[in-house]
Order: sequence, then structure tokens, then C-alpha cells
Amino acid sequence: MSIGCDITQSTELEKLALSRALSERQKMKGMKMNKKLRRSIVGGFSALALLGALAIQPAQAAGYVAPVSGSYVMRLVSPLPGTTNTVNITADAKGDWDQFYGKGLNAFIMYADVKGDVSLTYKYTNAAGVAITNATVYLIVNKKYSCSKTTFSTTMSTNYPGSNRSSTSAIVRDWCGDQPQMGAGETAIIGRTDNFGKATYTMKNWNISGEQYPAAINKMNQYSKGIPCGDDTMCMQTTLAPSMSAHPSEAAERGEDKDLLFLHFVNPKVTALTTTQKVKAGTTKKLSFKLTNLAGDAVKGTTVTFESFGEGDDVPEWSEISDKDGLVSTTVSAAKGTLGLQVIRAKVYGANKGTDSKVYWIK
Amino acid sequence: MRTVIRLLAITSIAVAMLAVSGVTNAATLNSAVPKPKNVSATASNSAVTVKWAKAKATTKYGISGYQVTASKGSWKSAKTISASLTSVKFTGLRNNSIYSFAVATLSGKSVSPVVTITATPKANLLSNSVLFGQPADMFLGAADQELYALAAGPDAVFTSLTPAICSIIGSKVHAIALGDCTVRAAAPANNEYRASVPIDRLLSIGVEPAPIVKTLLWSDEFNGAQGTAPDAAKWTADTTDGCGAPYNNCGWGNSERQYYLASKNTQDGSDLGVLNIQATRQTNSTSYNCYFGKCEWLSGKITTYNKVGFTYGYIETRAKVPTGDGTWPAFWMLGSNIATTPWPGCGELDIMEYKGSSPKTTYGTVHYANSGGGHEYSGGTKDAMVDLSADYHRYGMMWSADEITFFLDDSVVYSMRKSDTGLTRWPFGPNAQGKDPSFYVIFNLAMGGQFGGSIDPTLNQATLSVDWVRYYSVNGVGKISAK
Repeated sequence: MSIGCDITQSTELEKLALSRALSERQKMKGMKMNKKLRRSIVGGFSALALLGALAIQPAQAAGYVAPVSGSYVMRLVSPLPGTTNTVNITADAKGDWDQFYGKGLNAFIMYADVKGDVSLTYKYTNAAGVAITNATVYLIVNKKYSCSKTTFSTTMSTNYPGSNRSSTSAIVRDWCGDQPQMGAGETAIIGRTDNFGKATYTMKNWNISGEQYPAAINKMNQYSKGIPCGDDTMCMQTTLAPSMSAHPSEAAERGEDKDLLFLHFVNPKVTALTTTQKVKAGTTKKLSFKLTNLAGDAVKGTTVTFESFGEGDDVPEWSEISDKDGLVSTTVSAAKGTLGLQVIRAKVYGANKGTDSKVYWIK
Repeated sequence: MRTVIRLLAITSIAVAMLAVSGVTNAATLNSAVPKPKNVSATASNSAVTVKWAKAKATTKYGISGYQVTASKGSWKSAKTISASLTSVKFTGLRNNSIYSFAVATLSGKSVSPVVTITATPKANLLSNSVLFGQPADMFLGAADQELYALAAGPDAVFTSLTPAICSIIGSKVHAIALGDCTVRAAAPANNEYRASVPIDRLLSIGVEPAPIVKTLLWSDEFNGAQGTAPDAAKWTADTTDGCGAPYNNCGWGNSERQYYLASKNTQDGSDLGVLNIQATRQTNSTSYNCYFGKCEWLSGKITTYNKVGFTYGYIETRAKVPTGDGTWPAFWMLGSNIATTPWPGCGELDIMEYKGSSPKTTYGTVHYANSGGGHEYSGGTKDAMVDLSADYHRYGMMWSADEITFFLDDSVVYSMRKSDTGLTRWPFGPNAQGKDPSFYVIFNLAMGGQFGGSIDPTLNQATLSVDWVRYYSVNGVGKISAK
């Protein structure tokens, strides 16, 4: 029987992508890298990285090593939390909700693209740091009582009965507050550690709208403060917890030192291609906005709503869908003799804050 | 007239001859005129913006404006700014050249001593980012691993943040000791690009594990002649609808709609060698009665009960499940002690259950009794992303005394540990006397029932095809017994 995990293959794919990209770069030595090429390299790499993540789904039927009893340690190793890509809120847990976990609890906020793919790798060890290899492990998504409003699909196995969830690949939201479904949403994705104690989980987010794009990915989003953010409509987060059990008891989780991850899903960033310009009244002006994701890539197919304030011809609220280059455009006009400022505000669906493009109508 | 600008001395007493709005005017230096405060200069691409705080007027000297002069070598440009403003932008400057800016307060024909500051305009630097491929984990002693990173600007430089665990040799990572190695890739700044945000990757340095040895102990390849029953030395056919002895379990406990016949389990005699368990809708030519009246379906079920028992190890089948709503094939096991320890106490291991209404999903479930003897179960599903009935797939189970894991084509479907149950003992490990359990294998094709659901009224037949079933010990763990 052929049994084996294809980590090597996935890494080779990434290597191939990068070596090809580097080769292209060598050809262009002395030239500025073409932006389009760079985008294609980035896009290609991202796609391959995803393929790699999918390829390293647990595939080792050969597992036969019983996990070490006692405390477990489970840390997020990819993406590796750091000062540039996460908000470390571990201190927020101290003396409060850390009581529900092992003493080595870490807590991080990280951002992800709404409707995007998520790939997370955790390393599972015993308290002595010895990797727990070839063992079944779990990532609990929309953890109970976390008020997670996120929904996902996954090609990985999931545990049932997970309270209210059906036996499909759908991962539904949790509930909070005084709602009767409180704590009903969590689902455990089933993983299998490799020879190094690592397991990778992949899923796709299916929420329609996310939070406001953050000012910086290592800063708390002002629109999603609060851990968890409860029923705040401006907050879209899931609480993710690695575990040794699909349904860990409170006592069991106190024996698990883990990296708790609050993943916040954000809308695309909307950038006005022209922020302020003077236009002669009696003419029309096309205004364009570009939508990009956290990786800086164009986001297509997203609905953008426009609002108009100030001078210029009256226009009702209207919408456009971003094209393959992430662009949405609208045209404004003003009758002859109009003087003054018109603000066109573009918002992605569900966002509370827009991006403005200003037109000064002049003679 | 000469224009003299003191660039350094804030308390200059020299007479300044200043250019005002393109017209050269003379102003008399007067140290009693208050100077502007908090002068700052912000450089940008070919431009510098000079800002200051308003000077505080005195009873004798009001503030009529400000004089700001930019200079570099013999070049200079002066601007008079109204008293209400506190900033001015000089554009068209040469990048990477140091400019001096002198700011003074005007009070009628008098001018305060200047406050000077320097700034160097710079071209907008491009953002630099690094794509850093995730390095593979390494075994200690393995060859150094090439690291791959791509930067828009200057090449990325690698450093080890865990020098006791790994080091960087050129563009390769070298394993030094067991542990987690963190490698950083960062591109430095140059005249065109800003420095990149560093990207960190973690790879683990481990010890190569001993290979897992699986030894085939038992199998059936179903290579019998066409139309023959499976090997009677291994298999027994369960028959009827479950009512009556020895089962006394009408509808097999799940309101199933089929009546089992031994004749429904046949080998196909092909080169592949397949056991077909075929379900057919009962026609007028037969008249089998079920607990609910005339049976709707005739199907098959075979078991190794009282012939072969299995303890721990790895068991796997290669099978093709049927098509159609209402079909419910299964590859499963029950405790061989079921006669003395009734279900659920004997334990049940559902390695593969499938329902035609969810053709991409396989189910793995563990059933057992809780400490009070009541039924408990826990299971998982795997979305195969393909119609499982379209082809053969492998369904397996790894079984140790403390853990059971179900697989679909080597991917985990579900796993359960004894510790998950909260029980001191479970039926899948040693009993109180230390005796290991024995379980027997079952293949069947049920129709409808509580799990199978409504049967497609247009469906007239369905087949579970089994290519083989194989049982292995794993690292010497696993055994078969006569019963």
C-alpha cells in the first residue's frame, strides 16, 4: 500500500515557482521589475502556496504513535506570528480568560481576506517539546461562546455531531449573547500530524462582507475592537483553537498550552485613483477606484456602492462590480455655472467607511 | 544690493536683504521682533514643506507676515507668507541635495532674526516586499536546504533567528540541533526601494523516524469464479430482515427496507476479482415479506462472525459504492463478543458508511456504551469532493488499544481516542481482565432506513463492489483469531 505525505512535493512546487521567478528576474537584471510580471509572480506563488497547503493535508495512514499523556503544546507556525503580521493580545488574556486554558496561552489577532482561503499550520508537542507525530489533532473553528459570525467550507474532515451542525463540509457561525443558539456553532476540523508534529488546516471563508480594511495588519482594527467582538456588525472574526480533542472539556483545555487565533476577515481596500481634482462645470468626469486584498492583488467581482455629497448633478445611490483589474468607475457631471465641491464616496458592501474622490467644479 | 542669508546662526544681527513677492525689498533686522517658533521641514519628492508656529506679537511689534528663504549654494528662493499661514511648500527642488531654509517674522519694515533648518528632498522610494517560500522541515544530518525568496528590489538576505538550532550558509539553511529553526528573509533599502518588512518562516529540525512496518496477515481478493459466493471459510451471509432468531432485530434496528439473501453476494470472476453485493427492487416473481409487509428490496450482507476475528492493526478495503438515493453500503465491524455482551457494549466500528443522497461524503463512526450502559457514538465525515460512487476508493482503519482512526484514500476521516470518551475502559481495548478485544468484519448494502433515507422511486438496483479487503499488523501489533 502506498501511503505518504507529500510535503516534499508541495515544497518543490513552491521552489519551482520561486526559482522560475528568480530566473525571470535574472533575465531582467539591471531593469526595474515589471509590475505586471511581479503581480503574476505573486499570484502564481499564492496559488501554488495554496496547492501546497492542500497537498499537505493529513495523508499518513501509517500513524501509530500514541500521543504523550499530560500537557500538550500547540503553536501556530505558519503563518508565523510576529510583530509585522499579528496583533499580540496575550496580555489581554492574563488574569482573565487565560483561566480556561493552559498557562502557556498566547492570543493573536490576524487579518484575512473575506471570501478568501485560509491555510494554518500548527505544531503539536508534549510539554517537553517532543513533537507528537502521526496523531490525529484538531482545529476548532468558531469556538463555542466566541460569537464568531464566520462561515466556511473545508475539504478536510470535520467532526460530528458538532452540536447543531449537519454532516457537510459547511462550518456555520457561532452565536453569542442571550441568543438561544449560543455556543452552538463550533466545528472541529480533523488534522493529522506529520513526522514533525505539524498539521495544516485549510478552509474557505464564505461571508459576504467583512470588516473595514485595517490601517495596518499589525494594529488593532479600530472597527473591530473587543475580544471577542460580539454582535458588533462591523466585526467579522472567528476564534480558532488547536486542540488534542474534537470537543475538549474545560479541564482538558487547561492542560493545553496553545496559540489562540482571532482571525478577522476584512473587506478589500478601496483606493481612489484620483483623490482631488478640478473639473470645468458643464462637463462630465469619470472617477475610478481600485480594490485590492491584503496581498495587494486586485479583487474582482465585489460590489461597490457610490454616494454623492455636495455640488454637482443629483444622483441616487448606485452600485458597480469590480472588474478583473479590481476597478470600479463612475461618471459625475455638473451643470454649467456649478461651483463648489462634490464628494463621491465608494464603499464595498457592508462597510461602514468609504473612500472619497473629490471634484471641485469650476468655471 | 546684496542678499545675505545666515543659514546657521539663529541670532544673526546681520542685515537681511529679502526678496518679497518677487520684488526685492529691504527690511531692517530687529532682534526685538519675535522669531517664529517650532520651525520644521518635511522633505518629499523634489519638494520640502516648511512649517512653523505663529510668532507671538508684542505691543510694539505686530506680525505682518513671514519670510521664508530656501537656498542651496548660490541658488535661493524667497517667499513672503501672510501672517495667517504657518507653512509653505518649495517645489522643483533637486532630490538628494541639502537645502537650507531660513524663516523670519516680518513686522512692517522690520524683520526678526532667522531660524534655519535643513532638509534633503528625496524621490519617493518604492515599496519592497519579499516572497519567501516556506522551507521544508528537515531531519538532523540532512543536506543543507536552499532557501527561496524573491524581492522586488535588492535581493533578500537570510538570517537565522535561532542560531543554536540552525545557521545560514549562503542561501542555504544548515541544521545544527533538534528544535524549531526560524529563518528571516529581508531585503535592504537602496536608492530606489525602501527596506522590506522582514518575513519569518519556521521549520522544524527532527529525527528521522523508524519506518512503520505493516505485515499482511489476512485478506480476501475475491478472485472466485463468476457467480460464486465468497469464501465460506471466511464469510457467512446474514439473511432475512432481521426479525426472528438469531438476530431478533427487525429492520436491523434502523427501519431498513431490505431483506438479505445469501444469493445477493457474488464474485464476478473478472481479472480484477470483485465481490458484488447487489440490491434489487423485489419484483412480483418473489414474495419475501418484511416486518412492514412485502419487502421492497432484496440485498446482501456478509460477515466473518465466528470465522475470523481481528485485534488492533490496520484493515482496509478497496470498494466502489452504489449510486442512488436511499442506498446505504457499509464496511464495518462489531465486537465478536456480541452474543455475551450485547450492542452497544460490544462496540461498533463503522469504517465506511455512505448514503447515496450525499455521494461525495463518507462517514466514520465509533459506537460504544457509556459507563451507564447507554449508547454513545462519535464520528466524522470526509467530503471527498468527488462522487465516491464513480470509482473505487480505499477505506481503512488504524486501530490501537487507545485510538481508532478512519481513512479515505489515506486521508483521515475521523479519529477517536479512549481518553475522548472519559471511560476507564472501552470495548476497543483490553478489558478489565487485560484481554484484548476481537472484532469481526461486515460488508452490507442496506436500503433506506434511518441513515439511508428515502429511496429513489425510480431506482431498481444498486451494487456495492468490493475489490479486496486486507488486514495488517503494524509494527508487530495486530492479530487474527479463529473467531
